[in-house]
Amino acid sequence: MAGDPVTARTAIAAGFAALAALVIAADLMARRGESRFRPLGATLAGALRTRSGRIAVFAAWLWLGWHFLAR
Amino acid sequence: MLDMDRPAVATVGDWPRRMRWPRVTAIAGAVVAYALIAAVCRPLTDGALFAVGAAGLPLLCRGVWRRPRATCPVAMRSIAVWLSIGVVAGIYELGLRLGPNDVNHPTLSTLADPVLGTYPGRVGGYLLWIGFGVWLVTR
Repeated sequence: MAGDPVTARTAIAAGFAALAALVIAADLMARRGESRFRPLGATLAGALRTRSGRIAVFAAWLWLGWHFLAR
Repeated sequence: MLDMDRPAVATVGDWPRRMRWPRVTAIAGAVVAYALIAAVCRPLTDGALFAVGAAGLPLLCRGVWRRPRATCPVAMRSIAVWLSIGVVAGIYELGLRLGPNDVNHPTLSTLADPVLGTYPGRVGGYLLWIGFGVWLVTR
């Protein structure tokens, strides 16, 4: 049975969903005891140790708010 | 096993429960109240710009100039993994932004527009954004 053809828009949305799934999978993997890398939250907290890291992370956060909610 | 990423000093999370919960409840209440009020402003308006700036700029200043918590450095492997995923996502988004500008080739923000065009969607968006900001400030 043939379904509706996959549009470019659907394929692009699926790509974003795949990226989100990748982030979740990597974070879950990092939380396993034998993992060799840290979860996203711990890595972000590590980036906040320095002033330049804090500026970069907070600037990115403010840009996200402006871009999605205000622009 | 020794966890090298754990803070070396006591933090708010280590306070006794009776001291911690009123503070957490007050912050959560403020976050929800802000989201409910800010979401009244539709995107692309001066009100929305003010709503983002009124909360975003003070949090940015506090986050940047605040003395960071004592955390151990993160290994390069962790940074490489998350940076790689970020770069892949950035290239994907940039490719769409530089490509055809039509409804069939939406960027992430264009895909989010129908959700953020509604009041409940904006409440969720503001909750996610300001909640993340508060979490960053407390690191």
